[in-house]
Amino acid sequence: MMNTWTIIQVTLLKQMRRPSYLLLVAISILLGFLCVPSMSDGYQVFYLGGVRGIYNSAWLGAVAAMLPVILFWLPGFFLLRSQITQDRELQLGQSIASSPIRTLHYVINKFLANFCVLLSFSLLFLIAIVGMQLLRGESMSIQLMSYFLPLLFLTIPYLLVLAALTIVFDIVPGLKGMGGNLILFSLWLTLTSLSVGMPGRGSDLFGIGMIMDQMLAGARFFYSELPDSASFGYYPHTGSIPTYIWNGILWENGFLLDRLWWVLAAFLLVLGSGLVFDRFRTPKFRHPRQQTTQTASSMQPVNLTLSPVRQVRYANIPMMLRGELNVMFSGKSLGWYVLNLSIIALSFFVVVGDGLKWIALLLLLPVGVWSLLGCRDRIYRTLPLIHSSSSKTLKWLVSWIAGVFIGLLFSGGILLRFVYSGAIGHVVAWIAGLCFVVSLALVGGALSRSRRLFEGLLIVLLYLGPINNIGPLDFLGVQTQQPVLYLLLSSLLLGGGLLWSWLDDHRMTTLTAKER
Amino acid sequence: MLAIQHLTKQFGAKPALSNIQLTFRPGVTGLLGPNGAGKSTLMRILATIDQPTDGGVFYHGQNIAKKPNVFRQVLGYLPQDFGVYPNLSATEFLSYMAAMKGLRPKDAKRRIRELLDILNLTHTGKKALGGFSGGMKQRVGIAQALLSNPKVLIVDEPTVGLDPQERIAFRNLLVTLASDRIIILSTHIVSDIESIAPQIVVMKAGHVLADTTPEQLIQEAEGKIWHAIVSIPRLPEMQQQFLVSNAIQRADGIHLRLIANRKPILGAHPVEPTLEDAYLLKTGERRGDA
Repeated sequence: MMNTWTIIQVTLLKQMRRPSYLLLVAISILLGFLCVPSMSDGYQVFYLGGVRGIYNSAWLGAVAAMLPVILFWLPGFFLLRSQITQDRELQLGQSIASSPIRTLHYVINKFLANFCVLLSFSLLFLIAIVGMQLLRGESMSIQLMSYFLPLLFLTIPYLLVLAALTIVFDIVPGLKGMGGNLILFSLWLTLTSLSVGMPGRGSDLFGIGMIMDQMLAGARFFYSELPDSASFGYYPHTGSIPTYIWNGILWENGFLLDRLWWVLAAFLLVLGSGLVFDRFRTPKFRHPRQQTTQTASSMQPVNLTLSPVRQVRYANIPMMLRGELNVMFSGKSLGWYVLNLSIIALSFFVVVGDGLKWIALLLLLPVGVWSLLGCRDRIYRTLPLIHSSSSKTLKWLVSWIAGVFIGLLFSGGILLRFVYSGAIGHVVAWIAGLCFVVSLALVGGALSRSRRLFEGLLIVLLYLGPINNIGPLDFLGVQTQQPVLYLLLSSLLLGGGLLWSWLDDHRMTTLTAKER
Repeated sequence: MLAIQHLTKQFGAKPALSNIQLTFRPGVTGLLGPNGAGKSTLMRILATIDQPTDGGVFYHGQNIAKKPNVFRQVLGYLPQDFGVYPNLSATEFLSYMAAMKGLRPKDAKRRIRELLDILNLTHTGKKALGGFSGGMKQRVGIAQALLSNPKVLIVDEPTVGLDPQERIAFRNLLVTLASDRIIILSTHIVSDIESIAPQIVVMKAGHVLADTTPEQLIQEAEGKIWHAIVSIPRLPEMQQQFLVSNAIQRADGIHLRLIANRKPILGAHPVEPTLEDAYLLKTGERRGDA
């Protein structure tokens, strides 16, 4: 038990010292502020046909339970999905594997640690919401149980399931990469639909539908003409909003029993993962290229005469670009080329029109290549070699050009289709979108030192922007074209990322010195 | 000529290097010092990765921090801790590094072939670097440092991970290369330096303690190295009182090499100092009579 607590403590500390954790904390507090707008702010977050409950503990307790469910799923998952993989990459795995800790115990510890990190976000958000109740001052009576019960019955089971999924997707082969990201995203969409479509049922993990139905029922008691649906989002309004007193969630026994099933499901997922976990063993099957190379003798006892070489006086961008592209495409199988080329070719036959939004998913093909752009040399520890050989600025620029080139290659089919259809506006918007995505990949990788942040962001952006046409987020311009905005953002990200890279390098040497 | 002038590097309030003044000429210069001496920090500044807080490094009179890309053209650097792209073969990785260094493709191809041959990596063919042993990865690192035929070669702890045979071969390689280029070899394995470096720089806690030849360093230790035989129970007492450069257990007791200005114990007799003794004398904490 003491060991479990130590592991949780260390994981929490490890997370809390990362910029991404602090960013999420800041976002949680900001959201707490934004999701409790005053009358004069001109918007609502829950759409109940133009009315809302007064900001008492019951209403805000429900808000504090619902919002983390919607907002923390993807960021929380991407923040924590690689804890075991990190142990492997940092070569801690072999020390852990040779220690007496039982495999299942290690996996459960990781699960509980991830759960605690997620819970810390929810608690911070909850505290922010309590603060907002006092700040808005519509009801000064703090009912602790109105905050605590939704946390206990809704948020905690949900966070347990999410923490279990971070473990499953970290352990189960085939779920670790981009495929896993897509499955997780689809799962989120499915669970959200189930929660809204069948509120209060066993499948309602999020409980959003159940809460909103009860909120709506409360409102209709005062305003009988209200529509029969409620939703969550950004709803602008003018003037003051009619309010009503809502007394909180009625907990039904059946619903509470279903929550227990979810808790059980979370633990079963963890147990299942524990059975599959390889305890950092060397993989049985390795690609022939990855098999260990043995050598009988070492260096040749020969007289060293190296032929002369010529270097270009200043950096040769085409050569660096060629090298960059070689690295990006190395190790890809014939199947990979066949599959991708087929999809690129098929994209030429897309009809420019309503179905176009789905073509944005083409950008998922090169995501594995893009996501390494800003962090490859950190992940593979090649930074000192690269930085002592070439200019950082130039390397950054060449990586960006290579990324855009890859984007153009994968978009070849659809771009040709646009040209063929005379849709030049689409061509410009798509290329601006590509520039933006590559800049985002570089900056995301440099900031987070991992590929996960960019992969997560891209999925969310694709879903919200090009697919759901949330106006400003349609970076590819498939429904709303705004190339100037995205070219501008792209330039800002590029310049800012470069600056960050320099500062980060300075910080790295400082840390190294402290460690020494 | 590579000159370091009044070089200082601070990390916050902590000085890692203090007012370093050194001049490197063609040939091997051995950089010796205990952990935390500032060797790697100095190497990283020389390799244009870090910037000094004060002072500078001048290559033929040009400050390398002002025009790092010019210096990088003549620089080969093998860091103490480095990685490789695991899914590339040695040839592919070296081609990438050659592109970063601005080598013309034809020259790069020929040079890579030569280096793979010299470093006995030709047989690795298309095998990915991810499957290489530590020693083989180290050889790939050496190869990338030599790609551009560097005029200044900086190697930080290069023999870590190499087997004895490889270490000897690597030392021979450095000797062969040293005729017309500056080689700075950082290590704390004294024997690596003893046989190949005509110039030795000893560092400790960010300061240069000595910039000299091995012979002179050894000369300074003459008359201060003693051989004595003590019983096993006396060993801790000896270690507390004197610097012990070696202790070998034999049937008649423990044979010690002690560093002391005067005869340390009854029965001790002076012996010829080695470079390791001289290094310990220079860097060791003064204890008792030492």
